[in-house]
Amino acid sequence: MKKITAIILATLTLLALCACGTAEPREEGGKKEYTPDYGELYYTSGDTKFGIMDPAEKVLEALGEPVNGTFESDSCAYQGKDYFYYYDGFEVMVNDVDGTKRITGITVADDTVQTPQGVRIGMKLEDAQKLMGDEFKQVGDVYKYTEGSTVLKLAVGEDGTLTAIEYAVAANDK
Amino acid sequence: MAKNKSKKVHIICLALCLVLVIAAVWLLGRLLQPKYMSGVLEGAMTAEYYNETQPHDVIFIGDCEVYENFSPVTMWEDYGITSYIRGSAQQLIWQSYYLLEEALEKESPAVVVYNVQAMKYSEPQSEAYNRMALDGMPLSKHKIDAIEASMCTDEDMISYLIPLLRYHSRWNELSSEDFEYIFTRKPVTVSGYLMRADTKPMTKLPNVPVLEDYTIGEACWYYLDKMRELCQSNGAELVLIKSPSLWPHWYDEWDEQISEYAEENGLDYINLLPCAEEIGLDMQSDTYDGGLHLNVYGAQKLSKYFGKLLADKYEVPDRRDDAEISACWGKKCEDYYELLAAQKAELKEYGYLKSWTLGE
Repeated sequence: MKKITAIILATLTLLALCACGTAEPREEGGKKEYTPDYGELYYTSGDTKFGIMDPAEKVLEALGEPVNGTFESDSCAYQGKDYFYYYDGFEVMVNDVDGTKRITGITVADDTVQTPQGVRIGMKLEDAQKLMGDEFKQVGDVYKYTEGSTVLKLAVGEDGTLTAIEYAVAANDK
Repeated sequence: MAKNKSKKVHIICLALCLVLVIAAVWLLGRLLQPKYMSGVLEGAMTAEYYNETQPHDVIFIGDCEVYENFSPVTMWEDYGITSYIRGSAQQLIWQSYYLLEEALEKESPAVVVYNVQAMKYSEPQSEAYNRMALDGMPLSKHKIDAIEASMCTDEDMISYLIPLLRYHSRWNELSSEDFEYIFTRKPVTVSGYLMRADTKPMTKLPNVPVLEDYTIGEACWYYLDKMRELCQSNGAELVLIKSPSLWPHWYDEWDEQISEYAEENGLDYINLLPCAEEIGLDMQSDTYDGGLHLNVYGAQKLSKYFGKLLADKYEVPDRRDDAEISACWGKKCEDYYELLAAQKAELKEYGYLKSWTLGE
């Protein structure tokens, strides 16, 4: 009988321990102060300088009303949301990253704007490379410059000119 | 003699204890598992299929682009087509395959329609979606294979088989819903269709993101091959489609690869994106989220269009003369219109769907 009692107690203890545990991701200590790691791979619009993983609130406030509107893309079953803000010549994508809305994408939309280095859509790849330097990785028609959490992608068309310029989160770039 | 009797009593007690422990683990698992009866409804969809009493001539498989965009009730009303959507949120192709494998054990549809959008993913993506797709499957080889194929790196098989191990931490989140639906759940779909009667017009879609590699992954082709062979051996015609959802973007490069595969393997691939005008879709009134998914009005238009194709090209029979099938679909139609009326009433009262979403 003692054995049975022991088994029952052991099982109940196990179940109790199960109920106390957590399967959710644990918070890693306190929140660290944010320091941008994008180096020179940032974007500017007027006086506003911003880059990948910057907290979005202040950036969006500084950029003002998105003149060309916004777009919200819900993932299925509410497992996250992409927020897009359309400004003249560029778009900003924002996502919730560990509870903070952060800039996760900046896309140059047309040739009316340029990056701080002077790269713009329609420019010849060689000219863009002169401005950006030699530290790139080529994958197909895409030339990638990486710094910290940021990857800047330059896509090249058949005529050798830039067709797209995009800042993205390096970790998501697969 | 007395010693033998005592040993028997011990064995019986031990067996009883074991049964009690198993029952407790099962019961607690049932209680703690999310029920998906409000807000996020997608997790309840997989299990609903097992309540079906009549076979279907058409089975749709895939992600939100099928379960939000096609209305089986409309196809029944207009063409007498019996269909079911075995869909789930971000259903990956290996999940589609095993859900289909399981369905084909139970019934023999004439046509299987697979939406190819998910072929952009060739690796497991998210535990939350895996759970929504797989937790509702009863224990079987199909389920075990599906779990094996779906698990992300930090997941383990045992927690799928013993839900208590995964959901034990929900004990402090339990709500009345968890107790109310511990054993039986109310249906959230009609024949697999998840209805949304609200409207959010499409505005401007974002710039198309740059990809460095447009090649569809090996794993996707492997499971598409298996799906094709499975349909072939079960006498079902596999039809590949791309639903007319405008976002996430469907790249021309992906489209070419699917078209080539279809041609090489004698399959039909129907990209419905260029057919939007012919279907009559208006993304100002036929979508509830700005062009990602169709609302009920868009789904009805698409289903009228696609139902005609199924009836004319694939000769899917009209079952409206069959009394038993008609009675079953009569009930589905009733549920459909009740649901539509309830959603319209909520839209009128609150301006948004309070009971079917997580809020405004």
